[in-house]
Amino acid sequence: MSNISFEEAFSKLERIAERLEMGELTLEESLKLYEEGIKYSRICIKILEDAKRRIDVVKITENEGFTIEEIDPEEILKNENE
Amino acid sequence: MNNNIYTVSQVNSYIRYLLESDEYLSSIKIIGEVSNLYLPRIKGRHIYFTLKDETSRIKCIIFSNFFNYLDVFPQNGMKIIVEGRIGVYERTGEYSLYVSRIYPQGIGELNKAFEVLKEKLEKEGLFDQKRKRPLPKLPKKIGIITSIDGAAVKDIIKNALRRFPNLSFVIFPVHVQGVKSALEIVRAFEIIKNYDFGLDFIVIARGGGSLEELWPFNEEIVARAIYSSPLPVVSAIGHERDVTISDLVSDLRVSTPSMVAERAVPEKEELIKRILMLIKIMKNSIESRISIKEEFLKHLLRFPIFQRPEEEIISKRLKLINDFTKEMYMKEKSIYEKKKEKLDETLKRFSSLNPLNTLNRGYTITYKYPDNILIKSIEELNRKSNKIKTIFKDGEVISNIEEVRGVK
Repeated sequence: MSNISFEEAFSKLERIAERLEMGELTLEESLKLYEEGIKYSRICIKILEDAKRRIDVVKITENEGFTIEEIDPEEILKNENE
Repeated sequence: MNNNIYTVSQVNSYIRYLLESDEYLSSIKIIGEVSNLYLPRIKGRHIYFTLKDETSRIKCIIFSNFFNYLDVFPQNGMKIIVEGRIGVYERTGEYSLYVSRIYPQGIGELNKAFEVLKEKLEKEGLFDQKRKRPLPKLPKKIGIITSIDGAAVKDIIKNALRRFPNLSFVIFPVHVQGVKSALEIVRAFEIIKNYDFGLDFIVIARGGGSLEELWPFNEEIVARAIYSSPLPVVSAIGHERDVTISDLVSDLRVSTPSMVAERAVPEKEELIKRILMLIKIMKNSIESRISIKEEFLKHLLRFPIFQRPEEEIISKRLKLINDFTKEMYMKEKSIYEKKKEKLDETLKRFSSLNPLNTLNRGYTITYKYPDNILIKSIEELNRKSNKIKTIFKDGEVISNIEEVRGVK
């Protein structure tokens, strides 16, 4: 459940909402499905909030290798008017 | 005059030594027109052509290990500058230009080269719509192959972060023009292929420029690097009107770098809104389900039993009890009456059976005496007991038996 992707969780949520909207289920089934839908909506929100803001720069070195260096995102954003 | 006699091999070897050790001929640029082009059909074979001007010609060979460094494939009639060295093939004694690079001359030549490569790659299926891969709905980390100093990288990141504030990027700085550019772009793709950066897709970008400036993105090696990328590639090169080979191979083409975010990065607020909308839809349908039940319940509640339960229940019960009592009474009564009738009848019958009535008509009843046992036959008379009791209507007689006679 925790490894589910945003796409999967979101499409599950969409399908559950659709099924509930059709209303062909018993009240008990509906309530169970509703609970499941809420669970997927929480996963979606969690994935959205858990993403990080980060910028790395990969530089190719002389010997065909490379280095990775993190830079401050503000660095990129601030001097946009230069 | 040297009187020595040499073999053919020796002479060719010497000529080869002379030509290949010459400083001018070891790195030379020649301008001319391509003719007699032979393109290899099998991978790993070399390309042969002749470069000519009005009065002379020279054979040229491009060895397969130099293909990666070609900007353009030569084409018959194309005016180009070739760079390379003069080499000698000893077995035939022929010298040729061993080509390391080709530079098409002028816009017309570039356009021609573009069309040639486009046609070639199209035939190979590199532009097929079928192989265009979809981008993930929610990217977390985006690779950007572009110049670190250019406006393109800022445009992409700025716009992406505006839509989705917590996104990550990995920038692969490359030259975006000149002959170095294509090789660096290819190298960046190789690094991405061999090292897991956790990228969701790759953006290959460059701001606007002339056809020559954009040329790296029309190079075959770049096209092939994009084609073989395991991750989807978004191309954002130049302006709307500029279409490069890279654009055609990429999974998604956007007109300018600032458009990348709009096409490839979702708006976080929009996603949250959609999730909330879905929650609302679910809630509404559940609530409407419950309210349907509520309606039914309300309908039920309109019945008197639920409106005035005490009254309803008590009065109904009372009536029931009354009815029951009445019924029981009726039943009891009829049973009693029936029994009484039967008793009367029995009594009547009893009265008709009363032996005393028979005595009234002159009959008597005889008992043994003193045992008082009713005698119905002479057989029952014990000879030893010779006393009997006879009952009459108005008394009894005890007598001694003189003689017993059977009826003949």
